Amino acid sequence: MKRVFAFFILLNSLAIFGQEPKFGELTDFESGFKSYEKDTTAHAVYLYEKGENYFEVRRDYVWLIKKYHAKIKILDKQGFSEAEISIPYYHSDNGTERVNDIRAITHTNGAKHNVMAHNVFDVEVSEHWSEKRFTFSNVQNGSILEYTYEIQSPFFYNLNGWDFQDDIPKIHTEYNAKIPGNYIYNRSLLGNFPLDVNEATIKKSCFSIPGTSQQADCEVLRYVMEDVPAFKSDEEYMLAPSNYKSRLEFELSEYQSFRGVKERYTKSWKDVDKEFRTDGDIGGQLRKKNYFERNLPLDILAGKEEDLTKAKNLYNFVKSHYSWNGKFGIFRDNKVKKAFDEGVGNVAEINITLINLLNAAGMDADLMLLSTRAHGLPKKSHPVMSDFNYVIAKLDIDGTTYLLDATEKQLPFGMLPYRCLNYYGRVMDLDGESYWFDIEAPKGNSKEVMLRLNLNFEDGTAKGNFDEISRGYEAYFKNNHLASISNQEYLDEVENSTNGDFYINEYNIDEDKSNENMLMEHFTFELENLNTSKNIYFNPFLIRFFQTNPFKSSERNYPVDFGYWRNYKYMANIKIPEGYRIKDLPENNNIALPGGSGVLRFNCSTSQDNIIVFFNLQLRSTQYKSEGYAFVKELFEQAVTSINQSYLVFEKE
Amino acid sequence: MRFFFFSLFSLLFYFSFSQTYNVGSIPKELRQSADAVVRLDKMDVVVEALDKMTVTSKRVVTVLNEKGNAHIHAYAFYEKNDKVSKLEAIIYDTRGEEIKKIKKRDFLDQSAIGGGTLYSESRVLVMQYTPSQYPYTVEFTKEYSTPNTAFAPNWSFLDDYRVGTERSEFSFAVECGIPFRHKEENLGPYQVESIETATGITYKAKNLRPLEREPLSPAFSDFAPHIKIAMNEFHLEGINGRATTWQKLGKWMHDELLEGRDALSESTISYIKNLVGGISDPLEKTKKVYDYVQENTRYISVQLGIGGWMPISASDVDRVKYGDCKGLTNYTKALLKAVGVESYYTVVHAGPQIRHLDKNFPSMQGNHVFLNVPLENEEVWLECTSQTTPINHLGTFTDNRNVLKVTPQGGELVRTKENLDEENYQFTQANFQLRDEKNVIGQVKIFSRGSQYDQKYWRTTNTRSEQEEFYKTYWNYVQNLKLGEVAYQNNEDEIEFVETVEFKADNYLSSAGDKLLFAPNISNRNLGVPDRVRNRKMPLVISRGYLDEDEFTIHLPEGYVPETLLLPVNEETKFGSYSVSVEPKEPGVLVYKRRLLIKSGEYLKEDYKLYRNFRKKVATYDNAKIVLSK
Repeated sequence: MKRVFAFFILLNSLAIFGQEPKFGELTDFESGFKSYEKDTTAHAVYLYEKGENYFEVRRDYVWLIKKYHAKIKILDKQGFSEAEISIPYYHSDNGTERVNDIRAITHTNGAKHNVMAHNVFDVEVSEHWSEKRFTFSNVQNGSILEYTYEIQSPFFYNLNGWDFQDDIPKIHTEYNAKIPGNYIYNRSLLGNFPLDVNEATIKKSCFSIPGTSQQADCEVLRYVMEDVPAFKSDEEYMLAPSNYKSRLEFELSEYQSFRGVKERYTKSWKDVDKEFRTDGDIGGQLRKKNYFERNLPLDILAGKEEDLTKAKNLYNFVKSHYSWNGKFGIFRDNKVKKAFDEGVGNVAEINITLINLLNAAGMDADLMLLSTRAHGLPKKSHPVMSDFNYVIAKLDIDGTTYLLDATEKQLPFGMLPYRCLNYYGRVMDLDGESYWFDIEAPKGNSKEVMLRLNLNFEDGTAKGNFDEISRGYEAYFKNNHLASISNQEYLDEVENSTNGDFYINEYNIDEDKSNENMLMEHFTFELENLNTSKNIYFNPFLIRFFQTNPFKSSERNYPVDFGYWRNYKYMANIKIPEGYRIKDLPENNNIALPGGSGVLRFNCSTSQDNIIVFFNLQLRSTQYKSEGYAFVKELFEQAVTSINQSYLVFEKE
Repeated sequence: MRFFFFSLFSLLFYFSFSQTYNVGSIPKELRQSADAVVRLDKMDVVVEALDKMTVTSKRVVTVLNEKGNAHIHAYAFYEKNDKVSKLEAIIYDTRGEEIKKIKKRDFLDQSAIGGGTLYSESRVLVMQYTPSQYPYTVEFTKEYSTPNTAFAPNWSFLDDYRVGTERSEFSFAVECGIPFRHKEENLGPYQVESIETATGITYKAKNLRPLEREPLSPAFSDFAPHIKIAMNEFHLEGINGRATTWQKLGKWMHDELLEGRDALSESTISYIKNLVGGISDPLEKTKKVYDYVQENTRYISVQLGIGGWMPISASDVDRVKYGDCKGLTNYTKALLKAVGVESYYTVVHAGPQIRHLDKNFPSMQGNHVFLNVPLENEEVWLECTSQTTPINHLGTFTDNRNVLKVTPQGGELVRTKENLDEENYQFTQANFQLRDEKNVIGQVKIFSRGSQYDQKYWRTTNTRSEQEEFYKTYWNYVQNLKLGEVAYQNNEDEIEFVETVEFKADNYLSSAGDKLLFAPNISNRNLGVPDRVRNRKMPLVISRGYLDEDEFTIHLPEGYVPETLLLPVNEETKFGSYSVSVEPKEPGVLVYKRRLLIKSGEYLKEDYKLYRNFRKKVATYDNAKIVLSK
């Protein structure tokens, strides 16, 4: 049995090392490669890509070594941008990564052109990140760009996996790792594609450090994907591309030194919860309630109002007290007291202040970690702290939960900014265990236009008025927009978005009926230069929710995600002018998505001297799977067609 | 008594200038329609030696709203040999009370690499501050010295649209006896005090009102008040210069920055000679060489020290086959020299907005270089950074402006050619079939020249999805567009681009009862109407004109006849003309003809409204529908 096993390992090492391509040499397949039949739209393609991560002792220190080797075929001139390479590396007070042995060759028509060392530049990108940058020389249509380098890293948590999928297709992409048994990494495979090679074997006594006699066994990994298509992500309404891109993620969870000292990184939520309580940047910041009690007007905290009223007052207080500096900053450099004094803070500082205040007022508020839509969905299988990039407050009052974020001035109590509508987060209960909690956007989001119109075909004019009522997220976005521009600019915008000669005479906001969750605007307008021939064709949609279909691609490989339910309603009451009669009305158009997750209703009718136009588009789900894309696209197609191509036909009596 | 008077005066003087930065003290006319008000902008420049210039400045800006943050300018760009000795910002609240002090070490020090640049040594120190309230005021002081006197700072009294200036003070002094020149521009309507002494100049201005941005108006720099400065002797990254004329400045550039940088290896020279072997016509040789450069090089920008102004050598470009505009232009020049064609490195201020090098004020100007080849019959221009621009095509990037030709004899200011309105031409020829399921199927052929060529010729390498995106945007009024075959033909010799596009659109026709409605302008509607401007202040500027002609043959659905045809339209205005007609060709077939000419030019401000009306009419007619009945 033992022999068989040894044989197996031997075979494997052959598989890994036997066909190891030498840098600077092309295989027959590579030099003969002309075009990529599987994706003729690609400007460039990876013929070969390989990463190799392992540990090595250099000058008495253990380093993580990350080797990289790639060959990219340029298929047309637009692919030339692939010739600009940047290699990011990390540095902090605890050490710095080094990029070694950069070599780069352009293979053009059998000739090789090297990149000289003095043409590789070092660029500081931010406090902790720098880049090595270079570009290939002599790049032509059909060139193969080959390069290799290694990163020598003191940060073992930077063994973080492999991206199988990128913006250009890859024919062969491979990740190898040799990890001594004393380093434990959590790992997960994301995306839609399976591994073509998935091998894990044990190599005995493969790693030791000077000064100790012990030898560690290594886990030898080899993962390969072949023909990975390019990832295209230029469409509207989607969650983070990282949710769908194929990649392998590693996260350091545990390290055992040869002296037997065990250091745990992230392992279970229990460990995280424990660390969290004592961490100075988050947990510690949550225990500043005494500070706020001392520094806040008493009546806000100790008033006699009901909890909900008090919570709203505190929320509004924090919102107006702080200016958000645009940063999220959750695990580092949070200084709540200082931020509070200055009135400026990042997301964590602002929302931790809010939690402190709510707790100081005797309420039950916890911190909830989440990830923004652009940052991807956190993994549920095990804790991956870098999956989170945002914190909010979770407040419970009488069995009702409110999720609060005090960074946005226009945001109503109980609503989250659009960036946070990413399905779930983790509530860090300081006294108990942490748990997952779902984020559900309020459902009552709508835009409603009610319009009354009097036509005068004798002089080709019309007069009317309409109310536009926005609710939920639609009200929030509208309030944001109104706060960012002047009244005049806004009215110009409305006028310009209509067709023809449309002039607003009066505009006001109904202050009595409007609040944070609802905005009611009232417009009075005039139309000029109406077409007045014998038969008059009149499009009754003066206000249009959509000019064009937002969905343009013919197919989509990932879900459509709206974030929140939507509802658009248009109702018009148009008086038939004297001396005219209505000859034709547009056809009704009623369609629904399976399960009622989307509905379009459009109908016109007459009632005495009036024409009643009713249009309603409802999206009653936040997400539609890629298989349903064609239906969603069709629903919008029909809605846009109804809006743009419907005519009432009048004729003179 | 006299003494008393004097002290009273100085007391007043003292009061008026020790005012705090209280927002309430800003004159109302400066705040109105402003995003920010520059309370004080003061800069003192002292040239101590040919290679030492010290600049001390203080700038106080009250930011009235979020958009005003862009006008604080609390940053300091610096090059390797510059020294920023002082940098500080103090933040004041609405009442003018200090709320925060930001020291030099708290400024973010970062690389000033722009897009498209692989590497540059330029760096910038940027103030980091998040306002917690509006309005607020930033007092920013900066002191730096630089050896590069070739770029003496110019001075603007007004920063930008929607920014008022309360006080603006500028002084420029030369302590080392080098003569300098200065030029006032657009000071006309403003109250500007100036004092000129033997060694320098001082300017002071007060209360300049903010200006509102208006569509289709002249460039801000064409009417905003400013002062230009240039040293007659100067220093640039280790190189001294002396010039008061474009001729001399060009001579200096040639001798110091270009001379000797065009050497090529013997093998490259023989290769390129071989390539043009047998050709004697210099134009044909130029074409061959330009083709070679376009095929083999690409644009990459690396700026190191003097490399910001001096091209990397031709032999370096030859080796790596990339370079910035200077490097690629110099390389092409070297290759042409090798085959016996003389050409000149030419400096231009490139960009879609036409900007001249100032004929009357020779100084370091421009932001780009390209190549001039003076042939016997014509001057030929080469854009060496582009892999696709045809020989002698001047697009909107470099057309119609004063540029500096650098010749061994010195600089020569010449004007690049203008594309006339009618030369910016597009002809759309199309054949459409309407089907009674309300669909349209068509084949469209679009021929483009001049600046319209410029907008398209580089599309030849577009992928299918890029094509889809382009046509769905270009014909965004055609819902449900389904793209068929697309073919491009780039006739580089005539500088003409031809697109052949097949398409289909469902539900293009609308039904109303038993009638069908459709707009006969299926594939070239011009719906852009400039925004309404109340109380226009600036003249109307149309910087480039164009001519579109269209001819569509439209086959009606089986059994339908037009109930109404559009009446022929013929609009003649000073801004251009528009005509359209729809005529039956044979039963069931209509011919739609359209011609739209927009004339470039500068017009009175009163004309803006008329121009807008004209464009509104064009949009209305382009959208107009025909009714078909059975």
